[in-house]
Formats: sequence, C-alpha cells, structure tokens
Amino acid sequence: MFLARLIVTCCGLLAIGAPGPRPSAAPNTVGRALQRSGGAVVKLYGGRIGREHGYGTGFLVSPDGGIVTSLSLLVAGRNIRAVLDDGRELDARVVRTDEYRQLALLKVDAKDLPHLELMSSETIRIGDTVIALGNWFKIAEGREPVSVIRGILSLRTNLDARRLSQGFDYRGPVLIYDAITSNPGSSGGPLLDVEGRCIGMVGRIVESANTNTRLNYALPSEEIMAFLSEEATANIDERAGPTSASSEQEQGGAQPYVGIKISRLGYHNVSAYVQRVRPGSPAAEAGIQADDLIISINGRRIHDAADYKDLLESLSPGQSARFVLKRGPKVITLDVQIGAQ
Amino acid sequence: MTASPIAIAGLLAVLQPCQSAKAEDATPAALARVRAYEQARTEVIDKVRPAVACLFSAGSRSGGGSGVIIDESGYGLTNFHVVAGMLAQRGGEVGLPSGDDYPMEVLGIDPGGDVAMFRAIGEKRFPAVALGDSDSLAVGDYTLAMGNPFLLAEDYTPTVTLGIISGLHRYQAGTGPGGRALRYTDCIQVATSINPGNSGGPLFDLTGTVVGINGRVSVEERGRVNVGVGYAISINQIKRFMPMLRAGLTTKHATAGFTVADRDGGVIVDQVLSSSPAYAAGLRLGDRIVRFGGRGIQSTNQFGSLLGIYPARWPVDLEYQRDGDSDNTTSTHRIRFRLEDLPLPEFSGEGDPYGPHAVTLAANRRAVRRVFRLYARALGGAKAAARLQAMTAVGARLLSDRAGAAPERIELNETRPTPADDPLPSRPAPAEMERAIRWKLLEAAGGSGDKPGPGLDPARQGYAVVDADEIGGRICVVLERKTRGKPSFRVSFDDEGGQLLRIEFEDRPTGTRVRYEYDDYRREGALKFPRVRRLFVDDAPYAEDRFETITVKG
Repeated sequence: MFLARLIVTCCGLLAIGAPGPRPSAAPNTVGRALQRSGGAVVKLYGGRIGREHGYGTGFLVSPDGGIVTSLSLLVAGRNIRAVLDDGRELDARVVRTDEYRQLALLKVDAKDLPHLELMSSETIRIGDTVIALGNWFKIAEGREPVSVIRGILSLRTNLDARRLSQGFDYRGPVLIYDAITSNPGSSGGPLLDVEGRCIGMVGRIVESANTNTRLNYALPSEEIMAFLSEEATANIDERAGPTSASSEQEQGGAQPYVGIKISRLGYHNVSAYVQRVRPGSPAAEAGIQADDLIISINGRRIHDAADYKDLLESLSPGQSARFVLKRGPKVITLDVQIGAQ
Repeated sequence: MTASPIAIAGLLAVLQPCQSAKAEDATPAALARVRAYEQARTEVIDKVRPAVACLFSAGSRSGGGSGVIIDESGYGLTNFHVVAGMLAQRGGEVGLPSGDDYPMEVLGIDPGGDVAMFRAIGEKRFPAVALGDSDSLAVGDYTLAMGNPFLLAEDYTPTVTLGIISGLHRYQAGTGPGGRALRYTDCIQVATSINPGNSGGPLFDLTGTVVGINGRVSVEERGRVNVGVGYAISINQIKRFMPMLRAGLTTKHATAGFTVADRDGGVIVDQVLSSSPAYAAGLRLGDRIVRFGGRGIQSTNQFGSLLGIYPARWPVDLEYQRDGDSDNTTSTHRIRFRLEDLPLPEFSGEGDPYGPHAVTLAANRRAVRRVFRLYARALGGAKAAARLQAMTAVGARLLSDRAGAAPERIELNETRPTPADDPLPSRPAPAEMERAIRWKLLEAAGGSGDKPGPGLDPARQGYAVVDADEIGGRICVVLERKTRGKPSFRVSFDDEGGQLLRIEFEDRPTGTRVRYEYDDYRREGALKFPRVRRLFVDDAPYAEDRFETITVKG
C-alpha cells in the first residue's frame, strides 16, 4: 500500500477506483448522531399559503405515529402529508396545537415507528455541539435522508417574539446556536446533542425588520415535554393560549391547595424552585421534594414564582394536575391531586 | 376527560437521565486531541492553498470566480458558468495565491454539468492538488471550501470555510429549455459556507484531495448569499468527462433511451425507444428497474439524478426484473448498454461557443501528446521511449483460444513494419491491421518525448482525442486517427495510467466492427506488455489470446 501510494504520488496521478484514504483528522460524530436519530424525522407537505412555504419538518415522538412540529400555516391546512424516513407517505391529522409555544402534535396511523426520546436541554453546555436535521428547501424527496447541519450551543435566553413583527407571540426560553436553520422548511426539525438525543426543536423563522437578519434558535425540549404532557382535553378546539386558562373556575369558595412554598431569592423572581413541601400536603403525597424545579403544570410552562401563583389559582380542588419537575439532572412527571384550603 | 388518542403518558416515561452528556472540563488529553485535529487541518490548508485560483475575464476585475489547478502543467477545473463570458476569446486571467497572475485558456466545457477546464500558462510547474474519491464521502464528514467569495482577496489568497456534508446524492434541477443547462445531479450538499465568487472553487476533504467543485447554493428572497445550503459537483462525475475537457471538447450528457415512472413502490419502464441500445439489450416496457450504475433504484427522481453523472454514450450496467407471463415467477436480468446523447443546452451568447477554436485545437494536440507520453510511461517508465525507438522486433508465444475451436499455441515473430508498410495495405486482414496499429502506437509513444523530432510528434500524425469511455471500470481517453481525412481506427488508453486498453476499426471488406481489448499488463525486461488480448467481432467475443512469453529485439 505504501509503495502504491508512493508511485501514485511520483506520477502526480491518482489511481481511479482506488478507495481514497478516509479523512482521518476528525471523527464523524454527526454521522453517528444521524444514524441514531435520523429515522424519526418526518418531511411534512401541505398547501402553500401566500408566502408561507408548503413544506416543513417534524419528528416522531411515539412509536404509534405521534409527530411534533412547529405551528406553521402548513398545519392549518386541510391536507397534511407526512413522508417518513423509509419513504412511506401517510396522511397526518392535527391532534392539538399550542398557539403560545407554536407547537403542533400530529398523528399518522402506523405502528412500531422509530421515535425520538426527549432529553432535558439543560444537559448540554454552552459550546457543546448541536446538530439540526430538516427538510429545508425540500431538497430531500421521498426516502432521501433530510439535510443535516452542525453548530455549537451559543446561548440560552428568552425570546420576545411579537405577533406584529414575527407573526406570532412567544415569550419564553430558546436555545441559540451558530448553525443556520432559519431556512424555509427547517422549523419543526429536531435539535440533537452530539449523541443524537433530542434536546429541542428548530423554531419558526424570526427575522429582524431592522437588520434583515434571522435568528437561529430552537425551542428547548422542556417546552415540548410540557406541551406533550398537556391534558388530552386541550384539543384543537380549545387551544390553550397564555390567557385562556382561567375564567372557568369561579364555582365554590374553596381555594386550591398544593402545599408548596416556592423559593424567593432576593427581589427578583427566579425559577420556580420548591423551597419547602408541607408534610401531608397533596404535593408531599405526590412525591414532590424540596429543591425540585417546577417546569410546567398541565403543560403550561412555569417560569417563576408569579407564574406558579397564577396557575395555582386556575386549578380547582379535586382536580388532578400534572407537574413536570426537574430534580437534579432528571426530568420527572408527577400527578398531584389538588386539595382544598 | 377523553382518553388521548396517542400514548402521551408513555412519552414522559422515556425521558432519559442525562448522566453522560455532562462532560467534565476538557482534560489535557482531550485538549491535545483537539489541537492535533486543528494542526492537521491547518497543515492541509497550507498544502492545498497554492493551487486555488481566482479566475477573471481578461483585463477585468469586476466579476469572476474560483478554480483549482489539478496538474502541474497548469490544467484546472472550474464551473462552466464562471467561464461562460470568456468563450468568445476562449481565455482570461488566473490569479494564484503566490500573488502572480497568468493568462489562461478555456479548454473543454460541460455546459450541462456546469464544469469547464482551463489551463494557466507561464510556469513550468504550477502548484497542483490531487483528486479524491467522492464516492467515499459520508454525511457529516467535514469539508473545506476554498475560493474567492465576493472577490475579497486582492492578493488572490483564498478564503477558507469549514463545514459538514449535509446530504449526498442530491439533485438540483437545471436551467434553460428542458432544464438541460447547469444541472447538478447526484451532487454533494454542504453546510460549508459558499458565496458568490466561490463558484468553480474546490471542495476538499480533510486529507486535502478535491472531492467536488462548488458552484451553487439554495437561496430564497433574501438574496444570493450563503444560508448554509451549498452544492458541489462530485469529482467522480467530473473524472468521466475529464479526458474530453482536457482535449478542449464540448461534452454532452446522456439520456437513457427509455423513461421510468414510480409504480407500486418501484420504478418501472414506462416508455422505451425501440431504436435504443437499452431495447436492443433486452429492456422492455413494464420492466422494473432494480439497479443502475451499481446503485439500488428507489425512485424516478433518483434514476434521473444518476443519469446525469454520465457522459453521452457511456456504458452502464442495469439490473431489471420482469414478471413471467402466466406463472408468478419474476426473472432478474443484468444488461450492459450504452447511453445515448442528450442535446447540448442552447447557448444565448454570441457566436458558436461549442465549435472548434484555435485554443481547443491546440488543447487537443497537447492531449494527444499527453496520452502517448502516458502510454510510453505505462510501457516501462522514463527510458521506455528510447527503448521503443530502438526496437526492431517482438517475439512472443501465445495461447490462442478461438470461439468454437481448440486452443492453439502460436509462436510469433513480429518485425517492425518498414515505411513501405505505411499506408496500410488497401485490404488488410483484421489481425494484420491490429499488428500495424500496435506498431504505430509504439512509434508514436517513442516520439512523445519532450522534444519530438520532426515526423515523430503523434499530434501531427492524424491523431485526435474524440471521446471518453470506460473499460473494465477504468476511465479511458479515446483517440481517433484519420488517414487522408477519413477515420482509420480508434484507440483507448487508461486516462490516468496510460495503458492501451482497446483498438477498434472497421474491417472494410466485410463491414464488420473489429475490437481488440488488452488486459493484465506485466513487465518484460525494460518494457511492460499486456498478457491478455481479446477479440470482438460486431461486439461479440470471438477469441482470447494469452501471451506466455514476450521478447524484445533491437
């Protein structure tokens, strides 16, 4: 082999058909992640509406055909086709949507599908590799694999998208990275860590009217988890907006009771950490512990103590509420039977 | 409360603990690895940078593109659309990172595949890079793009960008009538930043070999700038066209002679021309295409994309299935046939850019000399040319295996034909013709040195490069020799190694097509000769000769 290489070099020629040396300088971690998770990515097609492109990306989150994607106009259309990684083309229907997070849950009828397991986005650090997959520009058709791009996580921050300028309102956490995903068809694709685990979803295009630049960002997996854990009753007819949740529970005088004291540090409201759980309270019975971080309740994201207080008031005694909590590195889900005070 | 139609409760149960993802702070070993990667990368960049070129129209620096020198004599690759404006003069200027600029000629062009070859003039040895193997790429591999985006580099130092391969085997439709111009078929999609001005520049793998030529990006209404989606023409596609491009020819792409449609989860033939080679090889309406060019076929789009990587008349392998008439059997068939010509895209500029030009005619003569130099080298290295000129005879013992006859041992003693033998006898027998052609080729190889004597220069003996072909998986350059203005014979040489692989001519008395193919080159003393010679008559195998000994006299 060495001799052959030497001869080749001497002549300034490269033998045809001889397998070229594999680039050895860097391991192909992206290829590995793609192999692990690419099979769960779905290409979505629908009608083109105005300047909105009639295609997008989603990914399977359950073996029986649950697909999450972003809430583009594509989802509002009547006919949505989902093309799976194996080339199967299926009709998808909308199960429910979340106007606030700009998320949609779709369903196709199929079994035993490869799907992604969501992983807390807080498991990766600034500077870690992130990988985005998507159906951008409709480059891949049928069973052709979707496109892939890599970057590093640059920043965790809150986005303040306003309907007037961006077409939708979203005030919440996002992951910012340095890979370009602000292309038509990109949103709804999974954001993976270097191992191929899903830590977020590529968000809808956000463009600055002043600079004509776009943000490359993803919704963290916590938001997707919260959306997926929402009560099944919150279906497409009762979209849960940020303000639509209360108003129903005025009956009876009893106040809802959980038994949690949220920690308050300094003057600013910080994340909703549980400072203390009252023994014997509904929270204690459900297994909530001090230092748990409340991520969401009934699918509603809880950012701080004020959010918690607002949400608590919307619950009624006797109701079961689903709490998504972060305990150490783990994300856990607990159902709390709301008591009365 | 209705039950969710989806097992959503199950979803949260699968949340993973995140034990491994939280890496510790970089250890010295990990840091050392990263530094080693980075150093390897900068070394590769330093190695290949001198060969990355900026291309301009003569006397103008307002527009231009990039290119890459792939041969020390100044041959380089770029995009057709970079040189499209230079076709009237067939020339321009090229700037290299050394800071020097040189005049440049536009040689062969591939308007359908957006490739062109140029030649920088002015140095004995230009910095050059090697071509890689684009079939060995994987999605996620890092690639380096180099070129002159936005014409940033006043001193011709190329801009380097690094990114991964986002997709392989992509198709990007062409422009113009029928979409025949500038099609990107079976191309490489990269996240590597590519911008206007990068066109024609090289895409390198991390070992520094050229795996593609960058030329196109996906954009939308925001303008023609990088959005992380660029396309490169795979170098393996370009290699098939290179023998013609180097010789200043305008190359055509191929059409199959049949069309396909997606049906029942497969790809079936929905139209086939009864005059096509594929039909002659046995393909019929309704046959299911399984493999084409060594790749499994899943869709019409994929077939169309793959078709684009071949030059016109290229030989391809096809595997198809056909259902039996009555029973439930399915038979599988493998055929090899030649593709047909796709018409050239129409050109909107002035004049006829596809016609011959002084520059391309000179390029063809240089290509002929190159072939015979390579042939001399393939025959035994640097001293072979001198040895060839001194040769008076070749003796051989061969085992001849003729169709339908018993194998026969033959002693040969071929003496060098005298000038009286040229022109050839008016009605030579095929074997006589083959012998005469072989001696002629040896003679031409002998005269292919740096300063061929008068009458010895093969480019002045009626040879011209006319085509490219593939023989036994090797890409070949095809030469035709004309005598008294008429095609006399065609010969094919390995485009890289220079071995003579085929001789073709028509046997005038009978009108049959005669083809000799050569294989298994081995050294005999100072020279290398093929050990196997196969004879085909009208494309049917006729005989196979195996040379057992070869001796050279003189």
